[in-house]
Amino acid sequence: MNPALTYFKNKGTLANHDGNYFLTNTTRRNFLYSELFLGTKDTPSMNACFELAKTPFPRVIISNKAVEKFTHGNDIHERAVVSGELSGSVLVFNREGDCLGMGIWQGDRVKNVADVGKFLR
Amino acid sequence: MRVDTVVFEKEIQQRYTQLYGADVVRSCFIPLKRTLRVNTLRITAHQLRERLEKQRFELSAGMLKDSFVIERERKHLGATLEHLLGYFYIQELTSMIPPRWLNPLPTDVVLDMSAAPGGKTTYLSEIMKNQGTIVAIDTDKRKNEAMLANLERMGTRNVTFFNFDALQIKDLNMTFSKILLDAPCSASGIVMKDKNVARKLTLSYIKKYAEKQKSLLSRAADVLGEGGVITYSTCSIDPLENEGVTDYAQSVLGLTLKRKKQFLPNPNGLVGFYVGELKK
Repeated sequence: MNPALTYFKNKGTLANHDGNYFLTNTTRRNFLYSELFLGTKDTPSMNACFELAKTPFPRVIISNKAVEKFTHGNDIHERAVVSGELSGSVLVFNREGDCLGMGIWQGDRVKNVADVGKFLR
Repeated sequence: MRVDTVVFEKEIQQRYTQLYGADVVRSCFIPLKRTLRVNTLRITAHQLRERLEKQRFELSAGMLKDSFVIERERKHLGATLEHLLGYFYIQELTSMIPPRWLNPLPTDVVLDMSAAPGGKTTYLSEIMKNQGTIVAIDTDKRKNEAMLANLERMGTRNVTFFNFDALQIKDLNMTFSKILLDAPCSASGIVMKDKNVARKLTLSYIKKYAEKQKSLLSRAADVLGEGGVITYSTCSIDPLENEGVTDYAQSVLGLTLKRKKQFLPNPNGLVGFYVGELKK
C-alpha cells in the first residue's frame, strides 16, 4: 500500500486516473496529470516523497556509499543506515538532506519502494 | 570556433542572408553550450552551483537570474543527483524568457497551449510558487512521457495536463487571465541543435507553420479574459512566423502588441527566438 495515499487522503480529493492517483481540485477527469501526483496503489511518486519530506514522516539517513546503490533501485542493508528509526515505511535521505525516495524496513534491510533514479531508468 | 558545413537550402540561405547578414546565418550552425535553470522552489542558485562545482562542473552565470551556462561537463548533466532531484532544468536561456514576460501571479489561471515536454510549464509553476492554476495541453503523444516525468521531478503542484489539440481549447469551457503560446514552428532558430531541420526548411514549409500559428493564436484569443495577456513565442527567426503572426493578432484578432523581441543566433550562446506580448 502506498503510504502517501493514506497520508493525503484527508487533505483533498483523490482522483484515480488509469491507476495513478492525484490529489486535485479539478472536476475534469480526462487529464493525464493533475496537481499533486501521489503514485500508484502500491508505489509512491517522487513528488509524494518530496511532499512527505516536509512532514514528520519517519525517515532514515543512509551512507554516501549506499546512495548510489539506492538510486539504482537496490535495497539498503541495515549497516548502511546512518540514523533513523527502522520500522515500517521510511523516507530515505542522504547526508546532505536530499530525499532520495522511500523504502520499507524488512528486518535486515530497507527494501527500495521508490527512488529518484527512476527518472533515468 | 568550429562551424558546421551544413547550410540552409538556397532560397532560405538567401532570404536570411538578406534579412540578417551572413554572420547571423553562420551563427545558426555554431554548437551551443548547455544552460540550466535553477528550480528555486527547491534550492538556491548558490547552493546548486556549489554542489555542481564539487563534481567538477564548470559554470558561469547566465544572462538571466538563476541560470547558468555549463562551460565544462565532466559527466552527463542529466545523470547528476541534482537533476534527478529536480533542482534544475536543462533549458535554453531564450526559452526562459516567455514565462518571465508572462510573469503569472499565484492567483492567476494560466493556459500553456503547447506545453510538452514541460520546460516552460515547470518554470511558470515555479514563478507562481506552485499556487494558482496552470492548464497545460499538448497533442504530441511522443512527448507525453517526458512531460509527466518533468512535472513529477520538478515537484509541480498546480499543473493539470491534458492531451488534446489546442485548437479544441474552447471545449474546456474556461477563460484564462494569462496564456503562454510557445507555438509549434519551423525551428529555424535552433538548427544548430538538429542539422536535419536546416535541410527541410523551405518557404512553403514555413508558411504552413505560420498558418497553424495564426489558428492557435486565434483560439487563444477566444479563451483569454478581458485585460488578459498572451505571450507568444517561437524558436524561429523567420518574420512570417513572428511579426507576421503578431501583426495578424493585432489586425484581425484585435489584440494589442505591448512588446516584442527577436533574438538572433549568436556565438555567445543564444539560439534564434521570438517573443511577443499581446493584450486583450
